Amino acid sequence: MADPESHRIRPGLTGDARGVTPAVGKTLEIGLVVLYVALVTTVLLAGVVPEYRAAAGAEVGDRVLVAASQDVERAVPPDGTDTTVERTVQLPATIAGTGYRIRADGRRLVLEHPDAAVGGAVRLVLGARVDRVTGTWESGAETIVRVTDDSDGLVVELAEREGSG
Amino acid sequence: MSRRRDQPTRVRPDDDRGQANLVALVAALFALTSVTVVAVAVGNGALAGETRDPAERHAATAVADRLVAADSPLTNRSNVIDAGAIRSVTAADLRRWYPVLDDRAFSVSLDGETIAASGSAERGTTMRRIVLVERTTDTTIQPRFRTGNRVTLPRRTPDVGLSLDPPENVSVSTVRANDRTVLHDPDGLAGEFSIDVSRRETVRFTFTANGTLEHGDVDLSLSPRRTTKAELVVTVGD
Repeated sequence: MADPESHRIRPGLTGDARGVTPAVGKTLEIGLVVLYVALVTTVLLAGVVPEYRAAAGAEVGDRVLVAASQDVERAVPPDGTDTTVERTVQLPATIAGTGYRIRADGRRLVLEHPDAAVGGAVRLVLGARVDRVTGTWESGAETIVRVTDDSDGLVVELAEREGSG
Repeated sequence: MSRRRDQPTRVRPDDDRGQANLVALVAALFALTSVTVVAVAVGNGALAGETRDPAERHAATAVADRLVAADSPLTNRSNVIDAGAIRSVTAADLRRWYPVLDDRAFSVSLDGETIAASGSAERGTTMRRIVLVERTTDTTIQPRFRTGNRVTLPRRTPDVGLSLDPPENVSVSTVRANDRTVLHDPDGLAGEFSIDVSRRETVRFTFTANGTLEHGDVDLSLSPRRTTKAELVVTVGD
């Protein structure tokens, strides 16, 4: 093509056929752009974005779990005070776009999420007065932590406010 | 390129015109690709640089809060640390009290002096709490009773150990702390007594007796408390 002699002897693109060139060029351009967009979209949506979503979800999950456990720990009243406490705990409705559960397991809070990358458990730091931790939180509900007095010690319960979804 | 410079009249052959656009397009797409790649790399870096470990932070905060709480084994009351208790604490004690420290490096220090440490936690999360360190010193005084049968305690203290040993001819019937009668026996008081007094006022003991008390007749043992400010630092690492 760069050779000035060669294009003269090639048929099709000489003389009256030159009018087709813009159409062919535009078609090529459109094809190229469509291919490019498809390629970039595929790479982003199939590889990068889900990976980031999972990574961000895992980080958010860790923080939600830690924030929840701190709320639980702070709800336990100091010794010698009224031991019936109800405190609202703010939890995000979804992590990585899906609902989740936080449940008590012994003296730990466990985050349950459909995505395996999101989850974990955190050990609660509670005084010896606390006998046990029970209950489950479903995300989206109005979650509260309730501390009541029992014969064996304090009972910390993960609960939902009455009448909330 | 050099050829075009050599032949300025044929800069762009006729059938090259469509491809000139394509070259521009490819260049644009290449630029777009570069921007995308750079953006993804920056995002990746931001995500990878997010190394703050919330669990570590939780452990440090929780342990620091529990250590200064009123029911902590180290405190006399909220935010007041018992100097004797904190001197004797070990890393094993802390692990036993706070299982959240299992498998983690941590150190607890008071005013820069490390009290208990396990592993190397320099790069961990640090929580600081301002506390009072309370020391109890035991002192005994023997009042001389130069100005009558009364004595003013030199320091405030929560309780006083009183040892009464009056002479044969003297009978102590009543002991008052300020205006409050704390001991009374019309037949005469003698022996060891423990008296709770207010820590918030200066206490003067008045002894009602049928004679004058002498130096050595009464022993008072006090346990005054001295508090100093200090900074409790809890560092928890991986």
